[in-house]
Amino acid sequence: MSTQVINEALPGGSAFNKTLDRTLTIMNTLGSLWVFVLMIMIDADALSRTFFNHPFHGVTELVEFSIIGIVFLQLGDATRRGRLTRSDGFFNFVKNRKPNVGSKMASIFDFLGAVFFFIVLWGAVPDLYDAWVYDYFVGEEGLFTAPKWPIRVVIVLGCLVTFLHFLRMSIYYISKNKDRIQ
Amino acid sequence: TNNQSKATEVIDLTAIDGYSSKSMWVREFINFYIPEINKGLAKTGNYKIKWNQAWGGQIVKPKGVLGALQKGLGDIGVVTTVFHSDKVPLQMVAYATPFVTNDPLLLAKTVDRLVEKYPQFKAAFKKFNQHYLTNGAVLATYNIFSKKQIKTMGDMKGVKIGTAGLNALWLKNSGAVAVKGSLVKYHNWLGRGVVGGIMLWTESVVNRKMYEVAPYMLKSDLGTANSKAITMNIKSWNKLPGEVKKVIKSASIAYRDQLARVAIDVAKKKRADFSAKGGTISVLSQSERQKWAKTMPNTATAWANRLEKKGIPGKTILSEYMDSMRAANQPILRQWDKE
Amino acid sequence: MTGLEVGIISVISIVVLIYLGMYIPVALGLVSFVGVFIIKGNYDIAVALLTEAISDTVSEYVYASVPLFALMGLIVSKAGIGKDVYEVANFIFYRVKGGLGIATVAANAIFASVTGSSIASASVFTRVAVPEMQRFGYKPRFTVGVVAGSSVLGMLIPPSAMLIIYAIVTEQSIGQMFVAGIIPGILLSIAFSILILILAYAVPNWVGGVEAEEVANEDWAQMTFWVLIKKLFPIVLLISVVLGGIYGGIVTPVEAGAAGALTALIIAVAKWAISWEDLWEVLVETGYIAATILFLIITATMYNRMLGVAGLPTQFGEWLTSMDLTIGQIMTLYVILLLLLGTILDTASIILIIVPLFLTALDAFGIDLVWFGIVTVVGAEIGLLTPPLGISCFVIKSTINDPNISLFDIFTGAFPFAVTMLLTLIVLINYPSLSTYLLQFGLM
Ligand code: NA
Ligand code: NA
Repeated sequence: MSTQVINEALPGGSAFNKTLDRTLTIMNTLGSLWVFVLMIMIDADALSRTFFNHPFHGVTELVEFSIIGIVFLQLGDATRRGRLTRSDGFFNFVKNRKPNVGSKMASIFDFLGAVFFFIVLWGAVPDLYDAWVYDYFVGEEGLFTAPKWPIRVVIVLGCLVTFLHFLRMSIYYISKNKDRIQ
Repeated sequence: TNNQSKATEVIDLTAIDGYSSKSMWVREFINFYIPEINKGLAKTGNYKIKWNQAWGGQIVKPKGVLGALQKGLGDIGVVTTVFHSDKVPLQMVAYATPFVTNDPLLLAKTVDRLVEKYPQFKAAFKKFNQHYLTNGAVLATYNIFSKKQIKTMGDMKGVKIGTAGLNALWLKNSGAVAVKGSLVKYHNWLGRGVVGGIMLWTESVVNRKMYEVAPYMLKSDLGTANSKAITMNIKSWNKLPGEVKKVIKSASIAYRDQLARVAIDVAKKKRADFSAKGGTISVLSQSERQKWAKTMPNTATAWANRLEKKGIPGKTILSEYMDSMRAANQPILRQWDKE
Repeated sequence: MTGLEVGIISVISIVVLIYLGMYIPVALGLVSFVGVFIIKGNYDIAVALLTEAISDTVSEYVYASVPLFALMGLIVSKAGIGKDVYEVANFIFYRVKGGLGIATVAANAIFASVTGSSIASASVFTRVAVPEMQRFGYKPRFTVGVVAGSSVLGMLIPPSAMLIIYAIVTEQSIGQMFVAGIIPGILLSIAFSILILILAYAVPNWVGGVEAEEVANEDWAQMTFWVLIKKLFPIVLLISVVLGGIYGGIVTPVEAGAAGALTALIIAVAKWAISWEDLWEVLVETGYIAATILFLIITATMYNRMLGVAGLPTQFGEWLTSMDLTIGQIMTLYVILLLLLGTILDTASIILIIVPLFLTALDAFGIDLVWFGIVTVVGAEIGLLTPPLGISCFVIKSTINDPNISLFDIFTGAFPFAVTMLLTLIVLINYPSLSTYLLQFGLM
């Protein structure tokens, strides 16, 4: 795992890249705010239950939703910042010795990342469709219910931007001139 | 006539549940259901099932069984239907009608009779690529277990009570405060006073040593419930030869009845264990039970109306269910269908 | 191919791909996908493996503890609490030979009780302890070695992200795992302190450090009682809120995380130690940590379930039983695997990859899962200090920003501490009651 990986020069310029980067940043902002909201929500519930004997119905469901929310809103940006867990000892060794091979390896790894998220999307989109069309919910009718589709939207969105990011990085590395690597 | 001369066809089946083999229904799945199917198949020797058993999170969590069977990650399994009131609402009949029956065998048989009569039951599972085999009532009845003794409805006032699902509604207007929890959390919660009591069945309370932290049982006999369904992935089911289908079907019914019988046996035994471990049992008087039943919102009508909205004859099914219970002389405290 | 063969080949493929440098979650997810596809011969089932894991793995209340304890740890790091504790520890230990090193261990042990991650410990004490120790003549290798070694306490002494992950994966109570980590954490701290004393006397030139008189003029050496109280008050408050809250019967571990984060924030604000920019940075960082750890858990679940579909855990268990191994032999095998994986994997990945495999297999042996968890976490944490991938050493390297201290220096300095951990682990394996003793008091 590299916790402080050097943020390699990202492909710049094009409208597509700008839009994707802006989307990643917005999602990251929402996800970060959500961390704070999650903390307040749980504190409020615990205080209310302990001192006023009044637990809030639905906090469990909202907390569960929040975890998914935070993960999939941050996933794309975390990937962009090189924060996705990897063991890069051998990879860095190759990259330093043979930049050309390193670049190809990077391209393959990112391409496989794109493939993975494409498969996930392939399965996640129909799940979103079902949750929307059939009104699936969490909770108990009569007490508290919340629809499931918003969770599915966040999952699909998070996987989509991560897919696009992997794809552009893969293309970037394959087209990268070998002497442009440090 | 000669079994040796025929080739035995081997069928691979993966059986799944998110609960571990320590749970009563998984234990019976392993020790009763599978041997029952194997025995049935051995009679002709034409087919043999090679079982891959994946319990306790190996392939799914308890909430994920429905999805895993839908998508073929497992072939056969135990769906805990109470988690899926949005997807298989008809299975909630017992949760919608508390204080009606404490007889899991009667309940399980009644539900299966309704399933055969109303195609909407099976259709709900078919939508999730599943062939419904039977239901499972794995608990005798819900009771209240608490840290401080509760003897009357009045004692429940302001007490926080952990409940897992739809039965949180049973506490509405009772004076107690429902806190959503789950089996694995209760011991911890009770020990630390997060809740003052729980609504659960005796077997789970004793197995998880909750008498240490909730030594008072209020025998209130709120009712049993069919919280499980045994289903098969539809493709896996359709691939089975007729002979195998037949064996599985009849073994499923036997398994259903076995679960109910064990639930009744175990409840008695565990109630004795609860006392032996120093627990105190008080019985909620009939008049107090009556009072409790009266205070509840009409969960049954609300349930039936929601079904009607989806084009399912909820009211008819509710009446028919209650009729069966009346016919079997159950200690019904509230005529849910006649309000 | 049989399920068993697919299972075994998958495990090998994952390790090879990870070693080559593939993103760990991608390796876990893709290999699991291919594995299930080969076993079931069905594309849809293989897709379902991934999507089901994505939607049902982390959407559970307990997982909220991951971001909450991370948030608390990050705020605490910002609030200068590490520095305060270190000064108090220096005040207590500076008269002893190697005292500033022992103080680093002690401060780390106390700091560990308010942070859940070794990364936080390593980065805080690189900033706080390294300059101080170097100022008083301690050798660079020894200095960074002490900081790296004692950083592992962050994930052993509760709260701990690794104990949380283990508890969730094995369905143990987080509270119980936390309690179980206390004595092993203290034991390891004592072992590190003894190691420092031995080194200070046996190889004084390797350790370095000035005589006690030379530091007697430092502010922290002349600390008054009230200053000491003032420096310790925030951390005592936080420990009371988090651990006291859990054991006093007020809150769940998840709520303790939320309460701890809020209290840490209030302390940081009261100390004027946090700006809006800092808070934002902390929130973003928490988001990254949550996303990477939880996504790792999601993909490890895919892998775990693929093994379940392959029937590997059951067959591995049958194989272990048929080998007639004693529990001692199995644990030896297990620790060797932990150490091997520890060379290239981070602690969370090791736990997530190896525990599910052994969990079913060890069922027949009736082992205590709490004790097994402590053994797993300590064994996996040794990897924080071993090359080529040792996270604590990496964090120190990137925080220290000193070209004179190479990664090799840090690994060399940390080596005696890694060996001490292994010895402590052997003690923990042979005396399970060290992990389970406190549980009997009915804390949970
Ligand atoms: Na800690
Ligand atoms: Na390592």
